[in-house]
Amino acid sequence: MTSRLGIRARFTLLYGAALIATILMVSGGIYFFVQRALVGQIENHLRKDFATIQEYLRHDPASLFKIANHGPILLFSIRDNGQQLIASDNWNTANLEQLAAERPAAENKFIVQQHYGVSYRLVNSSMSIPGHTYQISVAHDEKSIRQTMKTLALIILLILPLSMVLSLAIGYVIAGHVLAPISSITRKAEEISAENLSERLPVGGSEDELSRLATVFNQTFGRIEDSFNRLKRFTADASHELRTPLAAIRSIGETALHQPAGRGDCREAIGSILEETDRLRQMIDSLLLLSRADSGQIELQRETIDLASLAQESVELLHVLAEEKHQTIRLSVDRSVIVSVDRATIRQALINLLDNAIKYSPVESVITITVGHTNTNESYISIIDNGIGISQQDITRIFDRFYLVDKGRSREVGGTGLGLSIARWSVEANNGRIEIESEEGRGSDFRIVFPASNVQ
Amino acid sequence: MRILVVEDEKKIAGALKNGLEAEGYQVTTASSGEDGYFCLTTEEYDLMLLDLMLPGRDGIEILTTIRSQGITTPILVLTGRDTVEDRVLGLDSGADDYLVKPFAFPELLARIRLLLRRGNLEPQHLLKIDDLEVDLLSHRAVRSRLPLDLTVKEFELLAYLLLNQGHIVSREMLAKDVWQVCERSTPLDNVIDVSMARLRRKVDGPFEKKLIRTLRGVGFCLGGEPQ
Repeated sequence: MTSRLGIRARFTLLYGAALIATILMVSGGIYFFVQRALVGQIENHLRKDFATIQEYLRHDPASLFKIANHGPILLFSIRDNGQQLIASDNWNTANLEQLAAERPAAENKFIVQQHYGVSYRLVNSSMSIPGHTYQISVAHDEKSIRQTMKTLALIILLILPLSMVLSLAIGYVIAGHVLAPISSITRKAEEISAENLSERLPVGGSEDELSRLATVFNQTFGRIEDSFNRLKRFTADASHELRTPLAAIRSIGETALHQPAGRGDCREAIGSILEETDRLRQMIDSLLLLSRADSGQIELQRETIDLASLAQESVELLHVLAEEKHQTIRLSVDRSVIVSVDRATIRQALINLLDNAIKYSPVESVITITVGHTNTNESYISIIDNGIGISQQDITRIFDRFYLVDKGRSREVGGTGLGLSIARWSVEANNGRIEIESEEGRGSDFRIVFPASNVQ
Repeated sequence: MRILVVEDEKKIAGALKNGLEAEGYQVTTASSGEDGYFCLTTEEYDLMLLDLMLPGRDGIEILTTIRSQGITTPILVLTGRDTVEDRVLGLDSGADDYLVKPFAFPELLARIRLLLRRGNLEPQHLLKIDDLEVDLLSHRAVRSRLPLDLTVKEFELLAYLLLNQGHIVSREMLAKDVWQVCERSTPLDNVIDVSMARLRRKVDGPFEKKLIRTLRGVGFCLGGEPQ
């Protein structure tokens, strides 16, 4: 039920309830303590009166008659053996003698008693003087207390509904005030769509929860915008990359068709077309692999393999490419590094990385491959080259599909622009990660790292 | 040798027919599973090429029916689906081999040769073409009586070319059969090209007559006339 109410209404109700509970508690407390204080006062009064009467009885009994007629003690009576000796006029008028006689037992105890519609506080006590035992009763009516308490209750009862209304109103206003940034966030968020993803929510100046919420939302929007842009870039790059061989096929075919050329030229053209077809096919295969990887359709078969022998294998496969460029590949392994991974994907990743190192390193340079364990017991293969390196701005994007740092050069050395994407997916699918350290013009260090959990 | 091609895509069926006829096979085409089944049960064929995605009864059904009738004609399945499950399903249903579209024509020819040869293949260890001789047992290659200094991979490559002499060998075939790698990748293609170039330097470099030919966009060929 409450969940159907808006936050503002809920907040108002809660606020009102809390406020009313507080007021009730406070007024209850006040009522109780005021009453206690007033009763205490009366009882003090009675005690003093009692002491005064005792004093007079001992030293100056005659004055008691004066007091009985003129005060200041208004209600008292003194008996000797049940026989009234003396009583104040008011005592007799209120006919309290009967009351005192009815409750004689309580020595020095205060009694509250209704008598003819008036509430009295009364105390009885006896006093012995040699030869006599007097019973003394002093009383005080509670009219004034009753009056005060009644007024107090009235005030509380009046204040209660008033404060209830007031607190609800205040709660409503406060809730509105607190929620205002949320409404503005909601309005703004509703406006943001694929077309204006770069817009952001208003963030309040203060460091409160709502501005933090807006900041978090903005960060999310930032990430969405980022992946949106990547997707856009990918679509543009992919269509460009796919169109390039198609355009080549088309122009080669058209040119061949228009030239009344001999058989050899025709064969050349067809060969060219077939080459481009092959490139297209490879690109589509790679894209297909990545899209299967994205949708989790590729099943990995974990087995324990030795990274050192895998590195050895990859070097053996690619060393002819390095030899063509008179490069040296140094493989440094101190001992076997066993991990549990899918062999085929990791092999592919390693081959792609090593191929890049060979491609982007100058002739007669050295490529160093190290296999080992880190201090934190992670396993790694590091591939260090002295090649062209990667600039800081490119380093975050080199794993993007079709991202080629230098389009011209990449076309020259061949490559689909998907090799690193595939490498990263392969490694991450096996719980690993690829780390890069690179300096433009100095070379790169690509590192495949597997956590200790991959080690058996 | 008679080959039955069951393929509903007219362009592909036509290309297959032409290509296979150029290789000296007699080719009959059928455009549906029912036609193919009818042909196979009424006439004798040495081999059947079967597309798995056909209108009407699909390829797997035809395969199962044919095998359940006890027909043992070798069947090479062609398909656009290349997941492992598809391969397994095809082979389990009675196919002898499996080729994923788009395939390289030389590879198709090689597979066909292999299937037709199956059973009556005599293991040879001394291969020869022109003045080039290769001994598979002693791992020695000789041209014009001069020993060739080949690396292990280069020797395997040469042996493979010799085993398929006169026929085109595609990069796919080399990747699969010589390098034992199923997925083709750009690095591997480069490795194949570089290794082939080195092999040619050693085998053909000093000699007048060039034995290894590159067919652009298709593959390589040892001996034989250009087609």
